[in-house]
Parts: sequence; structure tokens; C-alpha cells
Amino acid sequence: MKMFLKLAWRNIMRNKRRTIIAGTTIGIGLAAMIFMDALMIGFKNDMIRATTGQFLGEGQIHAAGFRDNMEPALTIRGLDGVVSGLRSDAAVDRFTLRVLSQAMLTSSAGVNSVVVVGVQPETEALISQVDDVIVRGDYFKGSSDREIVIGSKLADLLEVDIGDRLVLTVAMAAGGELSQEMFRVSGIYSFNLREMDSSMAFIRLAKAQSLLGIDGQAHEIALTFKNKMTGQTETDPFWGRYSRNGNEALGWVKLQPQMKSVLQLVQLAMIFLGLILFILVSLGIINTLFMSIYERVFEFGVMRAVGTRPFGLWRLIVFEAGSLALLSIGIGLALGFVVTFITAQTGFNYRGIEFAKATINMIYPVLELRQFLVYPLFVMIFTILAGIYPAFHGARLVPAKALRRTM
Amino acid sequence: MLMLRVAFRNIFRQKRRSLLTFLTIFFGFVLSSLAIGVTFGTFNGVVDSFTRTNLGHIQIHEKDYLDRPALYRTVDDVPRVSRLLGSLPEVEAWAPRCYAAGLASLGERTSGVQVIGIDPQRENGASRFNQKIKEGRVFRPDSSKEVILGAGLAKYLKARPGDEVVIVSQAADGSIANDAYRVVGLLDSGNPESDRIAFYLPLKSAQELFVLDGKAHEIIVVARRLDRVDALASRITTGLQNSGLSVQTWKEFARSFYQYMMRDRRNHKTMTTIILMIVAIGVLNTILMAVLERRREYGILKAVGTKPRHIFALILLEANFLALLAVAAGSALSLALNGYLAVHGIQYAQDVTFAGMQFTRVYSALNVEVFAIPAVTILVFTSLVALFPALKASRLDPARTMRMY
Repeated sequence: MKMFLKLAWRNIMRNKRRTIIAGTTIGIGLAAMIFMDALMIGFKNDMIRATTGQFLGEGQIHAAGFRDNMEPALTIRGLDGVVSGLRSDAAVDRFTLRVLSQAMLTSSAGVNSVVVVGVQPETEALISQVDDVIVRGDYFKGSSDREIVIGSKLADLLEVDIGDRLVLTVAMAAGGELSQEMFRVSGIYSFNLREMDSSMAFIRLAKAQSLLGIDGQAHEIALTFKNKMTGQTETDPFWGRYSRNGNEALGWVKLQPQMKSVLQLVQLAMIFLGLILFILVSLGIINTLFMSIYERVFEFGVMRAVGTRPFGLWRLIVFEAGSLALLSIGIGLALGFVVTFITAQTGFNYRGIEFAKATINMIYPVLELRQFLVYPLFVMIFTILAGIYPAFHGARLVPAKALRRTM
Repeated sequence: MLMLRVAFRNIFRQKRRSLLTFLTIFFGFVLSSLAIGVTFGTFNGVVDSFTRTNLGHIQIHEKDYLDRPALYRTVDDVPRVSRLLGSLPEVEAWAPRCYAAGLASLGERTSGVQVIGIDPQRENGASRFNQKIKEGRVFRPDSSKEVILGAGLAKYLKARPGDEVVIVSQAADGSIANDAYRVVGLLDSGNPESDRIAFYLPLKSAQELFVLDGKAHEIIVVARRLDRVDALASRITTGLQNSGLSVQTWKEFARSFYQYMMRDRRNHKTMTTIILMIVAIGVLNTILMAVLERRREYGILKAVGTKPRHIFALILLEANFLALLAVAAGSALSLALNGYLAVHGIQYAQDVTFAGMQFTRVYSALNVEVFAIPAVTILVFTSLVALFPALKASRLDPARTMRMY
């Protein structure tokens, strides 16, 4: 037994060129599977971010019924409790409070109806991308509570620019009396999307609360999760934890149901491509092994001629396949780790597609321990399995025929 | 000529080795071609179902309508647009619509609604309107005083087919628009937000109600082929010069969706590149092995007087022959596979119906790229890969190589 193992290892080391070619091929296949897996997670995260990152967030909490018609009085029940719950919740990455209201925005040139959003500038910047796509002015850098950040289309419609005055009119929560305030445009953003750029205006949370007469209250909590899957897993316990006492917590899949089917289809095609790669790598292993064994018929013939038993030869070939697998796994793991690790840090920047900003345009592959366990195991098992058939062939060689070789 | 014959014979002399090389290249070609087909197929499939359910590939509006929608910003000369669209063979279907806001009431309940005037016949062709009806029926060609409600709106108003809903609004000429309509159907468009306010009227009824006099706010156009949309849009633009209308494709009016799909396309391209790389490495490995293992054979050839450049040519020819054969055979299989998947697709789960569309199949596509990209990759790689061992074999020292077992 031990002798055969030693023999197998020596055999594959004897013809270094063949072993290196075979080991590298299988190794690159393994590295490609690891990298592809990491990349697919990165793509998925990026697609989710494309849907949730601009403003939506991966999940939202409202008072039940608020989403139907943005009733200003429907603020989140027991806000302090919810906030302290979120703060200590292990699933939550970041969250921010918002006040939302239908409003009229008036300039000297015109009037427009908008949704005014009261935000906490610091935490809001971590959830939505409004701060990343400022084209003129800045994003709540000043200290005045009369700063308003509006979209570029809205600025065109109202014919205003940085520093110009705007009057905001909202209906107060209690009784619906109108409440008005003057603001100065401090920032203009552009997502290059008509809807986002023409119908929203951002002010500070405290200002929005006092305008609406709901001090210390909020209408919406937008949040992101540590694990991107939580946002689209409808059965996750998170939703139950915050959907009570008259509040409802919803994931982005529920908030944007039409994106769900698109994402599903896109995912499906991804899995299909992953499967194709899997098959290709498997074929590569079979091919490599068959080649390196069939080309050595003469050698095996000599071994049989000097008295090696068929089973001994069978065992030798299977051991050789195993040793080759070990070597390939070594190469593949190292290669896969280095490539994935480096790209996971630096990310991929795809140019040539017009997105809002380069930072939004990066793809980061995600390393997971699973990738370094499942795929090597697969390569090990598959390589040995692929070695069994040619091993039978080798074991059944008739020495006299094998030695009577042609050129 | 002699070289060609020898190379060809060589392939068939060592059947097992040739078969292995052939199969590697063959499967590599078929699988990467399938991967590329699926990449295109998914893109077209998602975009088509997204646009064909409601938005159309191309939309025509009064030039300021999208930025500042108003009742009076209309496409005035609908017959002119109709004549133009009718004369373009690439137009599969088109439909005019008009939009207006209003208040609808039934009994005690009142809700703000978006009135959408549609041409029932044309809308079936352009947006599969009839497939979205959840309950009741579609408009009849002569329907008037009938309304189809979005499912959410019907739920809020507690309306059932047969009920009469009253609408109040302002017409384009400033007069009060007020009428009653009988509910004939309920509609589920797959988008709950729009279904909460959707109030569909036959186009003629809507034009009468809002005094629009044959005008429309929007004309959606569905092209026969997705890849011809841009060309079609520019032809429509040319045809509608000086009319004060703007023509936009889905890339503009559904911009965030377009960006999303561009991401998807880019992701697929990256994955296809990795797949092609693995195929290339497979080819490399196979050819390299096949040549290196045969050094003894080339040594003998040299010993009997074959010139180095002939050995060089022989190896290159043999490798390329095999690759060509594999690509040819692979094309046949990939034509069949891609062709089948382009029509039937693969189902991966229970059907989920979304706005009258099945959304759970992956489709493939048949186009030049599906064959050309893998074929070029494989053929170029074969030649490149064979070059090095061919050079080496042509310089072999016959006496030494023949001493190998």
C-alpha cells in the first residue's frame, strides 16, 4: 500500500513537464470555479445595490398604512424602542430616519409638487447615494437648517440655482393646517433619472419635523443589512421583529416587486453560466487524466511484463490520479485565493457604461470559506473517479500487445 | 498537398487520442456557444417582457410632455403618426394613449385616479392588455361608458364588475369633466403601485370626457426586433420632423431599467470571458500533450529525412484540422441546442405569471456571435498553442528522441 503511494508520487514527479501541464490545467480550472463563485456573489450584491442603493435601502420600516397615501400623522409607533432595537440588532448594518411629506415648492419662476424628505445627513449618506451625485453646491456641509438639496430637473423646472430661495409648503400632521418655510438651495444632485431628479427635495430631519409638527417622530426608517440576503428573504425573522405594534417592516423585494422577477431571471442565467463552467472544468479533468494515462501504455506494459498484478496497476493509476489531484488543488487554491483576494480588495471598475459615479460602478468579488472547501473536494473526488476508467483499461493490458508499439 | 494528406491521415491513425482532443474542443465550443446564446437570450427576453407588457420599445410624446406633463401637451396629428408607423415594416404594433388625473367615486368611497384612455384593439397587440384582465372582460370595439379598474383601485372602491363609478375632473378646455361608467373588468398589471390608481377608459370615451378631440398624449411603438429599435426610432424621428414631437427609446424613458440591464450584460460578458478562457486552456492542454507525447514519432520522421519545416507544418495542420472538424461538428450541435432553447427555453421553477408574461424561463438566442466568438477563440488558440511544440519538434535531435522508450 505504502509502496504504491510512493510509486505513484514518484511517477507523477518523474515526468515533470506532463505533471506541470496537467496540474496547472486542473488548478486553473479550480481557481476559475472559486473566482466565478466569488464573482457571482459580487454581481448579485451589485445588482441589489443598483436597486436599493440610490434611495430605497434594503429594507424599510413604516407605520402600517403610511405607504398607501403618505398620511403625515402616521409616524412610526414607539420610535425610540424601534431605534434602540435596530441599534442592537445583529442583522442590521446601518439605518437612517426619514420624514416624508407631499409638499409644494415655490420659486420666483414657478411652483412644483414634490416629496420633501427630512433626512439625517450623516446616516443618510451611508444608505442612499444622493451625496455621491451632487453636481453643484454641496450636501448639507453648512450649518444652517434652511439648506435644501434638490434634483437637477427640479432646479430646471423652478429655474433656480445654488443660493436661490425656495418656499416650501406642507400640510401639518394635526389638522392639516398649511405650514410654510423659506429655504436656500445648497446642493443640486443628478441621478440622470427623470423621476429621481424632478420630484424630490431633501431638508434636515429636525426642520422637517418642526414644519410638520411631529417633533421627535419619523415616517420611515431605511436600512441596510450585514448580509445582503436578508433584504430579499421574505421569511427572515427580522421582518417579524419589527412588524408589530402597528408598524410594518418590508424588504426591497416587497417594496419593488417588479424588480424581483427581473433579478430572478438574471440570477438564473448566472447559475446556468456557472454550471457550464463546472461542466467544462470536469471535462478538462477527464481529458487531462485520460491523456496522461493512455500515452503511457508502453510503460504500463513493461510493469505488467515484470510481474505487477492487474490490481496493483489499477491501484497505482488511481493513486496517481489522487496525487495529481492533490497537486492541482494546491496550485488551484493558491491561484484562486490570490486572484480573488486581490480583486476583492481592489474591486473591478468597469468603464464605458454610463453610471452616476465610478464608486457606484465597482464590483467586489466576495471570498467565502465554502468556496475553498466545496470546490477542492469536488476536484479531488472527480479526479479520482475520472481515473478509475483508464485504470481498468491499464489493468487489463496484455503486456505483449502493449509492448509491440508502433512509432 | 502531400502534407495535407499526411496530416489528415495522422488524425485517424491514433483514433483514441484524436477523439479526446476532438471532444475537448467540441464540448468547449458547444458549451461556450451556449453560454453566449443564453447571455443574449436573457437580455432580449427580460427587455422584451419589460417593454412589451406596458411601455413599448419606443414612445412618442409632445416634446415637453415627459418633463412637465399637462393635459394640453398632446400629439395633435395622430393620423399623421399613424400613417408613418403604418408605412414602416419594422413596426410590429403601436397604440395611442391619453392620460389625465381625476377623482373617482363609488358609494361612500372616493379616490384620486389616473385615467388612461386606450385603444382596446391596438393595446392588445402592443401591451397584451387582454392578458392582464383578472376578472370580467376587455372592452368591446364599440364600448362606451365602460371602465376597467386596476385591481388595487377596485379593492379600495369596493367595486365589482357591473358597478357604476362616477368620475370628476377638469377637461383640456377648462370645463368640468364629469361622467359615470360601468365597471366591466379588473386588471392586474403586475405593478401594484399603478394598479392602485389605474382607471382605463376606451380612448374615444376618454377623448370625449376630456375634450381632447382625437388627440393623444403618448404613442407607444413595439418593434419586431429588439436590436432594430434604435434604427427604427431614428426613422420615426426623421419622419416626424417639425412636428414638435419627441421620440424616445426604452433606453431613455426607462433609464434606470436600462442601466440595470447594462450591468447584467456586463456581468454576463465577464462570465463568458472566464468560460472562453477555460476552453482555451483546455485546448492548450490537449494540443500540448498530444504533441509532446509524440516526440519519438517525430524523431523517426526526422530520421527518415523529413525536413524540419515539414514537421512544423504537419503539426500545425493536424491541430488545425482537428479544431476545424470539432468546430464544424460543434456548430451543428450548438445550432440545434441554441435553436431549441431560443424557442422553448428552460423552465426552472413553477410558472410565475407577471403581467400576463411567464417569467421563469431562460431563453437562448441565435445570432452570428454565438458561433463566431467561440470559433475564433478556439481556432486562434489552436494555432498559437501548436506553434511552440511544433517549433520544438522540428528542431528535435532524432538520435536522442528515438532513444526514449
